[in-house]
Amino acid sequence: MEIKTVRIPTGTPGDIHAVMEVSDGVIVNAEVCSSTTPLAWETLVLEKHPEFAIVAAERVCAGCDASAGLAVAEAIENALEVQVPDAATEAREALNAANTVRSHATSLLKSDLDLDADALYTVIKAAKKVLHALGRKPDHPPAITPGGLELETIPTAKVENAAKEALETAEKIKDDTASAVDDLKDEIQAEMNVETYGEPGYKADLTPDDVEIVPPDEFYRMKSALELANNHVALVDGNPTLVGPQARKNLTDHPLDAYTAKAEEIVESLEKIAETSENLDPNADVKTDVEYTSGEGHAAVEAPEGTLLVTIKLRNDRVDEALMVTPSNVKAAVAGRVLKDLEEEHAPTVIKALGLSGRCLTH
Amino acid sequence: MRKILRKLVGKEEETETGTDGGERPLDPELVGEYRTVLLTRATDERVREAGQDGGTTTALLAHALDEGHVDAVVAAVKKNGWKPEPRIITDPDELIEAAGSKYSISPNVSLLNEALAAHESVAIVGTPCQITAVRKAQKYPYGLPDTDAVALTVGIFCTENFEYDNLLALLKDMNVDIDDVERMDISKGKFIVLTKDGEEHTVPVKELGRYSNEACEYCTDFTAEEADVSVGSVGAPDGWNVLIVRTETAEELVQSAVENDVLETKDPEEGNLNLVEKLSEDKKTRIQASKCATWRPYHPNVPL
Amino acid sequence: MKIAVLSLMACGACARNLEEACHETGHEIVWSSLDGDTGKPDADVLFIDGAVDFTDHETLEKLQETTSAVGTVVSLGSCAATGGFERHVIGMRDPDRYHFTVFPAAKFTDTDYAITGCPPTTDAIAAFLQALDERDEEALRPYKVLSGDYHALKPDLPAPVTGPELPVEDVLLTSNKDLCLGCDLDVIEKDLFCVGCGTCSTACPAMAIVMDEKPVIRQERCIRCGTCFASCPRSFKTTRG
Ligand SMILES: Cc1cc2nc3c(=O)[nH]c(=O)nc-3n(C[C@H](O)[C@H](O)[C@H](O)COP(=O)(O)OP(=O)(O)OC[C@H]3O[C@@H](n4cnc5c(N)ncnc54)[C@H](O)[C@@H]3O)c2cc1C
Ligand code: SF4
Ligand code: SF4
Ligand code: SF4
Repeated sequence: MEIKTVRIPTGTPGDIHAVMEVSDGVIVNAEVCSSTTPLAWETLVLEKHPEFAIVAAERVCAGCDASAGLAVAEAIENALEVQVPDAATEAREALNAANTVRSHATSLLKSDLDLDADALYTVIKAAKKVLHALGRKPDHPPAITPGGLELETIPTAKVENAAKEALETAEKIKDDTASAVDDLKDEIQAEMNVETYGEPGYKADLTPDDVEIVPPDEFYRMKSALELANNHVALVDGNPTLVGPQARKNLTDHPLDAYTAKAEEIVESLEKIAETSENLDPNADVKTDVEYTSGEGHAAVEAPEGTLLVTIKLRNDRVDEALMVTPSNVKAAVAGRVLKDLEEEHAPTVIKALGLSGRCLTH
Repeated sequence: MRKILRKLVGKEEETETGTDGGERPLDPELVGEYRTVLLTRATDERVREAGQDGGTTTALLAHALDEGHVDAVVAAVKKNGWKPEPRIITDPDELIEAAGSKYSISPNVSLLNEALAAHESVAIVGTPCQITAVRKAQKYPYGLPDTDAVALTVGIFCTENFEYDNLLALLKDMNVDIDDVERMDISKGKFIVLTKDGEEHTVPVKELGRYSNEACEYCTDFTAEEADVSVGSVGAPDGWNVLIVRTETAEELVQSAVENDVLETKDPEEGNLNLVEKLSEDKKTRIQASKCATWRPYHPNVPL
Repeated sequence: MKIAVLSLMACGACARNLEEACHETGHEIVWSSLDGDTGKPDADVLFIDGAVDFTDHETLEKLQETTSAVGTVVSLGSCAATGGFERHVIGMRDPDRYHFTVFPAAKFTDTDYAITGCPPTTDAIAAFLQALDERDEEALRPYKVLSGDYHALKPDLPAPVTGPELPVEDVLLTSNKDLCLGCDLDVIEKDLFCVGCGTCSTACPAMAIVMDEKPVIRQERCIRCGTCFASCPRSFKTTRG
């Protein structure tokens, strides 16, 4: 029996480490954590204006940026009991879907699967167009604001075209991914026996009561993990739980199915964007005025990598308390279990497929 | 008309073969690089009526929209009390609302991101400094995506602009109420205000200095040297425009506008192009007389 | 060109845009810390993105090791170049144990060029790569000046204004060195260089600037990235053509 600590390159910002107890090349026990310096979004936004909480959340990790912004905006709206116009919610849904397309395509590019990069960049371009059109910039979309979206008109035609044009390529990516995953599965024998949380769609009904946040010294049992860990982990209904594309698509036989699920979600998200934009009135109102009072609210959004929960307490136009539970927080709790019984050499491929980001984990 | 068209085409051949032997009507040192200079006006009387001079700008932009050369135009519309406001316009008929010069700041470039986000190709009209800004954004697009979708830049000649409050002060000193103003113009060395009662009030341009936006004092670009096409009034007969065509795309667009009877042209000989050169030169030298010429960076180690 | 990427405290958007720009322009990323590469990269250009926590010795050593191996070093994005968003974590009202030790990566190593932005657009990175590939000194100059040690700059007296744009060095001398209108609108606005074009507002990645003839900063949204300053036609001159 041997204890090994490996840094696992996931292609995402921040560091991810797996501490593994290995016997005869097989992982008997494992824990996954991050040593990344925390941005500490929760502290950073204290006493700041709620708008800043959104802007800052988008800069936690590029992978889920728009979704993080949306979750914070919705939490603020719930705290203030603001009703956003229906069109804004629809447009936000499309924005979140575009974020999913971009994030998943980037993650497929970085995966150990050998996929057509040109095809992936084609859908990334389409997603960026949608993000630009609905979010006003392709990165960290700044149009997201409490009360709706900062848009004069909704460029539905451009959004619809962009999504439709990329659909064919997305279908091809889906087929390529499915067969590439099948090939790799022959090499990597693994099973996943985990609880899942998440449904397809934009908003999730996860509440702070369903989530238990465990500090590192209470969660990590192995000494090396404890020394490294800068992150909390989150349990859903008291259990380590899998969130994200696999959970939403109910594809949990094998960890590599994460990629299958992502490729499928790319297609579905593009369809969703096309459908939404087709039904949206370009001149619909997408913003209500917000008056800052005191209150507390939470919101959960299905971000690309999984359910993202935000709670925020406002004192007039200042943030009094904030809490963010990210997809990586939840998945880190389950990652050790996924590694169990796996051959050691496959650990990096499997952890990468799980879609963890060190930055997201420590936020 | 045919003759002028032929001239237009002939010019193009000249520049292409590089046998630029003939007299150039304007000195590129003063007005920037260009391909052709024309006198033009809109054929549509309605456009001429609404337009500042010949309505060339409005007609050309409408043509670009009609032809599908661009999907949207960023221009300045007039709000209450002559206060301009930038707007994204997709309907050629709506461009009429943007016609006419507004003598205060309209931050047209501020809508460029929105226009690029919503449309595949965009035209922008603006003062020389705004065109420079767009060019810089194309070369150093730090925060602005898809700047290559700016398919047309139309620059308007400019000596100076005014902050709105200062424009009000200027009008007040001229004993004119902003709500009575029918039209404002800078022409023949004078700032001319036509009031609704048909009266004309004038101030020599020389006296405008203390009202104008300070930043204009060290602007050296009169003709929007970096635009695809620049439009002005000085040097053209009344009701006409001087049109400086600088790029190939603009040349094609202007040609098609002429062929489609959107613009009519006149022989440049009938204007007084020397004036364009003179004003350009004035603007390039006035910076030396500006109070900013003595401006010196603040630095802790250097006594002020 | 062979390109290396060292990603530090960053959200990853800069590196992602760089990868995309490389894909588009045909430059190859041969080494990336995001993909687990370590040691000395064998590359022509190294891009660093993100800030550094200077109590994190491991990262500082990594920074030393990688930068020493590559001829041209570029700080990519505002976090690396001037602090940008990460600077918000410095000097917080009530800093927790991590924060007051975070600084832009460019503070800890010599960089040759800096690309402002939060993140810089794919186009901006592609434009830089092209200028670098062609060794277009004039086009590269702004990137170079913005990466330099502008605290050491000396004004050229009597420095008369000779053109519509301020020489970038002069602006740096007057500013609080943060190169951000959010921090220091005075440089351009109060010094009356502002023409009211609106470029700052259009370029701002946080939509933190509204225009009322001149820019008005919504401080609550400003992330101190400096995109406004770098984009302003009055901050530095560009070559024509
Ligand atoms: C402040 C200012 C100063 C000028 N000074 C001179 C001068 O000294 N000599 C000279 O020959 N010409 C000057 N002009 C240009 C001139 O007034 C006409 O705009 C030009 O001749 C084009 O005429 P047109 O009939 O084609 O314009 P139109 O067809 O009426 O179109 C004018 C276009 O200009 C845009 N516009 C109007 N006001 C502004 C503004 N404030 N900022 C940005 N865009 C605007 C409108 O959107 C419209 O598209 C100036 C214009 C302005 C705005
Ligand atoms: S004079 Fe120059 S700076 Fe002033 S508005 Fe005209 S072009 Fe802009
Ligand atoms: S105003 Fe905008 S562009 Fe300028 S520093 Fe702030 S966030 Fe960046
Ligand atoms: S970009 Fe510069 S000149 Fe233009 S409005 Fe902003 S500060 Fe003023």
